[in-house]
Amino acid sequence: MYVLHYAPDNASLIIRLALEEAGLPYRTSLVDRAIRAQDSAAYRHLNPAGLIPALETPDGPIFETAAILLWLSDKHDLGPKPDAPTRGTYLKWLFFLSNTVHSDLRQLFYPSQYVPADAVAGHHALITARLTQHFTLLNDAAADHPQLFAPTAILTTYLGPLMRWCVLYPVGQIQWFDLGLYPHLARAVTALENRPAARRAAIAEGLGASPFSAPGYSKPPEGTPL
Amino acid sequence: MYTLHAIPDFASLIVHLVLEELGQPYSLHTLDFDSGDLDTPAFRAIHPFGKIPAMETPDGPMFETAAITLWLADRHGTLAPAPTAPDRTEFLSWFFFNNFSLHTGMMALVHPYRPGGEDIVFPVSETAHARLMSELGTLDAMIAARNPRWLSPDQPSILTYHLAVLMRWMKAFAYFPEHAIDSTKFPAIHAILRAMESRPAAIRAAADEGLTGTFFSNPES
Repeated sequence: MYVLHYAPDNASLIIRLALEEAGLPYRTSLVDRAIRAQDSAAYRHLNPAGLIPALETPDGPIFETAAILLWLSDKHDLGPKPDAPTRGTYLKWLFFLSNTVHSDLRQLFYPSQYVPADAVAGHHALITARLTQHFTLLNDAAADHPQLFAPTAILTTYLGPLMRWCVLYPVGQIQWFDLGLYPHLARAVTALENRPAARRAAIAEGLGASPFSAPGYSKPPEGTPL
Repeated sequence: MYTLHAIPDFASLIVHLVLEELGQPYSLHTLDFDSGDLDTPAFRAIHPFGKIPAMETPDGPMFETAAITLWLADRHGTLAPAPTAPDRTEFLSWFFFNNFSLHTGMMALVHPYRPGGEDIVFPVSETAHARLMSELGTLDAMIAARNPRWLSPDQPSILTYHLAVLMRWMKAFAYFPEHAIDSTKFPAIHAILRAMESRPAAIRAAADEGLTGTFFSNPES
């Protein structure tokens, strides 16, 4: 039985989607961001870096979104195995999503951790231009490798929430993200949000009926997204 | 047979170190940044946005440094805990942490003009430096407490070489000398760097790229 340490509409959503879609037994444990529980000694014991999510497994805790996805993928056969011919393509796009796309999103959402206040607007313009290029590349990759970007595939599970947050965060930003520019990705994440597994995840975190194709702010039954 | 597309002392160095340590046959194709080698159609066919490293494999071209090294480790069954090993959880956590947090922080320390231009290079470097010092402290404490086999002076891993190169650059290439990060501040990490830079495979790869001496633990800037 896995225990997912989560906050609503945080990166833990990506792991919840994967667990739900694979039908794996798990329970959740809320990390209460309102009292900065991610900085508590108990949470730091699971993840010394203090970032959400962490997953408790029979082999001990694991953290970092992409690390958890890859571990679940190998453990439960949710993606190409190490000896599969498509393993290399799978890994390169998984790492690209993690340390290029997700890492740029983090800079976009928490600019004060990276640039001084008077430089935030320029920083936003620069990062969003870069993200637009990233999603264009991913859209091309999805056209070339439809199986790796199928609606239930690990890469799509990662992409759906990342694209959702481009619309919603940081709160008050000028809208820059247009899902319609990436038809292959749009098709995949729209199919994903209509699956029963994703519906269950959306209800658990208060994400509404179209969390990826027409996102609105989360109204979760417990916890806070920010 | 692998072909690694490389520029000396770019991120291809990490893959180069891993290939030497694996002892698998490979060829090194050195590109020249200033001659526009990264923008040729031939290279863009291998790497869609023209960055270093890229590696050709029998299964097709690959990019993203950590994706390449993890693929190699899993394929050859060494330099990382296997997918079924009990310590794969902990290894993957720190491998992605290294990549997501430390590698990104290093970029801000070395290229602080990228996030917002020349006007704000100092504050960008300063915040990156503060965050890196805290993150490296967390990592150093973890190593000292747990002495994991995948981040140890006793044997190399793909994470060890990636971290070693990041530590090299944070010392040698910090944009502001006062933000250069000295590995001796992190004793457990420092001991690992010392052990790695004396391995024959690492010395061979480093020498190919013009690096000698204490190229991880106390590199020349």
